[in-house]
Amino acid sequence: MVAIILEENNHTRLVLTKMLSVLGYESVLSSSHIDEVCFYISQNLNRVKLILSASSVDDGPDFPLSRLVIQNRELDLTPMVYIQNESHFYSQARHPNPLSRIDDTLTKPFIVKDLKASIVRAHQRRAALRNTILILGNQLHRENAIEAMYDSQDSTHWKEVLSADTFESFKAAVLKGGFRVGSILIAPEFLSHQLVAWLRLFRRSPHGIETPIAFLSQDPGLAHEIRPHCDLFVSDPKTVALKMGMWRQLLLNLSRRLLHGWQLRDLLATAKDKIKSGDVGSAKKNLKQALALDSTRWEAHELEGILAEKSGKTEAAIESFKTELGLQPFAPLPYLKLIQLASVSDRDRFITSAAVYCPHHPQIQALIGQAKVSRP
Amino acid sequence: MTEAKIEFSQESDEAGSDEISKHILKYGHNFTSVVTLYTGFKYFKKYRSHNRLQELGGSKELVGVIAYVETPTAWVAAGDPICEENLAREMIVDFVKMARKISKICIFLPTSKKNAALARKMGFTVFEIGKNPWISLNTVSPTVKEQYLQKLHVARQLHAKGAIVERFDPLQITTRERLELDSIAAQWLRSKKTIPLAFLNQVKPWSLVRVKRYYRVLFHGQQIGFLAAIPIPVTNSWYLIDLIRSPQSPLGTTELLVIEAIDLLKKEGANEVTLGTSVLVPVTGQERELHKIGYRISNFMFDHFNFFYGFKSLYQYKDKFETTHWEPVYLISSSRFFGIRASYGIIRALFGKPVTTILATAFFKALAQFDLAAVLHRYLSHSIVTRTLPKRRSLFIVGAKSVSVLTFMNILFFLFAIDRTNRLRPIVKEFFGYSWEHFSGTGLEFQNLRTLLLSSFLHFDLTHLVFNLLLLVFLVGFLELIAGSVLVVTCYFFGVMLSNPMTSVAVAAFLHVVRLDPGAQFFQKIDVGCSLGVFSCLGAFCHFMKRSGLLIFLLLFGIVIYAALVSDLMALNHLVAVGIGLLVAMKQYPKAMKLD
Repeated sequence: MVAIILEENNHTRLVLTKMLSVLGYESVLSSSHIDEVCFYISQNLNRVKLILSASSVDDGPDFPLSRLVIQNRELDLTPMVYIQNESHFYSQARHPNPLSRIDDTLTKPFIVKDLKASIVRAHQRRAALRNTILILGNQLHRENAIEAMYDSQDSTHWKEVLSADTFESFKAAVLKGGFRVGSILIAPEFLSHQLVAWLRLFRRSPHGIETPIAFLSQDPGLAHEIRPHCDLFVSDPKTVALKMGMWRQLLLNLSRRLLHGWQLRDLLATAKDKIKSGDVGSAKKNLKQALALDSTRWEAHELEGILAEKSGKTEAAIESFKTELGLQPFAPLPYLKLIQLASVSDRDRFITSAAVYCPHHPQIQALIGQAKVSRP
Repeated sequence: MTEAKIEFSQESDEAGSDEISKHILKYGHNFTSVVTLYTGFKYFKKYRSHNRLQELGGSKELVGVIAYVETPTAWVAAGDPICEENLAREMIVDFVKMARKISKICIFLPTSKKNAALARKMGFTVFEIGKNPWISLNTVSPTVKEQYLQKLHVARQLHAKGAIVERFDPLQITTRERLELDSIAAQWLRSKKTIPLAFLNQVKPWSLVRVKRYYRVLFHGQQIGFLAAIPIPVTNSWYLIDLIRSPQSPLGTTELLVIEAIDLLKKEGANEVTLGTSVLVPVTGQERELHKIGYRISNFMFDHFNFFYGFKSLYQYKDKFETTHWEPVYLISSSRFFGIRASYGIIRALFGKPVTTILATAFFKALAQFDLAAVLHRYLSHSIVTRTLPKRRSLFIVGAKSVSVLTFMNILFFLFAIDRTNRLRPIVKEFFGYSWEHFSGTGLEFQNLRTLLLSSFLHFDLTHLVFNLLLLVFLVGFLELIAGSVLVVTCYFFGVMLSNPMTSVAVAAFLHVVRLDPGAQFFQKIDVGCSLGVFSCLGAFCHFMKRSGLLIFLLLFGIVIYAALVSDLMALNHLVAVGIGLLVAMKQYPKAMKLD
């Protein structure tokens, strides 16, 4: 993760660099020269995850920084935070920038907490512009999605639904939609080896990392191949009423996952670090915040289960792992934990489920083998 | 047969005539020879007249020149005599003779090893003053540029970013480009710590424009620095005399300029390149034994006087370019002992001004360059990103609005409230000054709140006002510039309104508990002045600094000592004010992470 700082004052650059390192940016490149900053950005197009631009530095008569950011599609997901001095004369104020793409503004003086809050806001605003859902499905899927989008307009940010019914048209739609494609839904009927191979590559791209993908089935047989590339798995209910409820919930979940993506990743990473270092209180606080933002984030439930287990709260741990399995039935860890923690009567049930959803996991295979031996 | 007759002339052309220019450009073998064609030099000339030429009505032939500067105590010659080798001794002798006639010492600065050896034989004082780095372009490999770029990563990075160096002719460039280069040179000169030098160290990039070669760095189409090289005619070598960059130029600008200039000069057939003398470089070997004390002093200056002139940093900078050899340069003095007259002569020649003017210029330059804000910036905490200070000082008033208003109000109130003896009128003091006795009887009424507020704008006398205003303008002003008006106004008014009542309550309660009677004096004591607001802001100011805990401790300790020295318990109200300011700042900008 690279962060770029354009700031005139050496001391401020140093402080900002330290703050960004604390916030988890592996590399922070800074300069007081717009040309140098443009050079840094063009050298790290796929790695730049944040641009901080200070008001005291002139963007020049041609606005080279804004132009660079707008022209490069790789930077579509990169938020730009504008740092301003309240009472001084600003170059930006003197030459209003028609190309300006500022996601959030931060006024000096500020502390690391304010900077983090500003980055979160900037990420959310950037993500909110990605308001198109792309469905690889049939006409019925498309209609359901549009209806659910209209129904949940107040609670989600989705504005458009694109659909494709062949793999080729799907690829073309991803290219056409570009940065605006905020989520992808895949119907099981359209699953193919080509699609799985494409998803594998897509998930490695900056766009793919930030795009939640949902598979419209929880059937282990169907989802087996696509399982590592999807974030959510939902089963299509039979009745119309239930169907609409499922679609609305799905759109809401995807919206939350996208809008709070950066913050959730940060909270979960911090919680993981805290669990490792034994700071249970802080980890709990982080997980609580993460679940308040998105209660369907199965990773948070998994960490909550691990934390509860470490604290000796077996019942709570079992509950968390069960919730996780409801959201992500293909994760092997909750099965292993449940088999370890649950009562003897339940253990067989979990082994059976694990054998269905994660049949190739070596530890689960070993457990299945043991169960067969112990049973006459 | 041609019979040569030597004649000397003490003609001293202010600017080199055509005859001198031609001579120097033909015989100049010192790296500074051509520099003597700058204005400000006089010339000691030696002629050879030929009988046949005279018969034909021909003129005398110039055979030697010594460029020098006349000071009240000495003639300071710029480098070696510019003549044929066999005439050097004769010229030095006659130059010294001529100077002695008018009671002047002769000094040669800087001079070559050969000339120094000659002068030693003649019984003059010779002192090694530095070393000259030479890069031999005949021995360096054809890929010298790549080698340098490999070694100097700052230059490599700048090169990779697209900076290019090209040779240019100042007579061919556009007016806009020329103005841009002039502005770079002016900015560079302003940014220098030392005052402008004269003699051979004059910065005159556009002098001798037809003789010099110029190179500039273009970074994204913009000129960010340039270099002027002056020839050393006899050896077909070049002296990189002016290396100028914009203060905003990126790292590696000068390094890239030097590397590219060396590469281009090599391609153009030059033999050697020098970057100029590194002064006071430690002397080693036998030479060191000749002037033990003198060299010890110069070594000490090289190590410890870098704040005055970058002796060491300049040497290290030049050493980066892997010089072929370092050639010592010397100072020759015709006097047996190097004393005050010789030193004064050198100083006058180097600076071109009387010592009093030099000192005054240096003082005002240092004053103009002193930036309190920049010094304070260095000690700011790394946990808070503060505002950037305005570029122009005039904008400080705009940035520190509240401090400007408060200063104005304090002065205004003082002018209205003083009597003829410049002291606060007793009636004003009685009516608007704060005292616990006055306050405790009536409680929180409008009248008391008014007293608390107005007492902060009154001062006992001019000293009281000046001291408070100095703190207000410099420290609170800086706080407002970096943290904003809201924090300053909040701290100031909380400090002014709460410190006195809180101190009175706390002290009275404490005295009651320890059963001490402070007497009526404590309760009747009147307090005025903006110091409580100022100290409250100081409390907040400490929060913005590194080691804020230590600063707060020192501040509180100072207040307690002061209260003890003046035996005044009311002085402890400043302690409360500091605490209030600190709490306000901590509330607004908590230092959650230790980044200092």
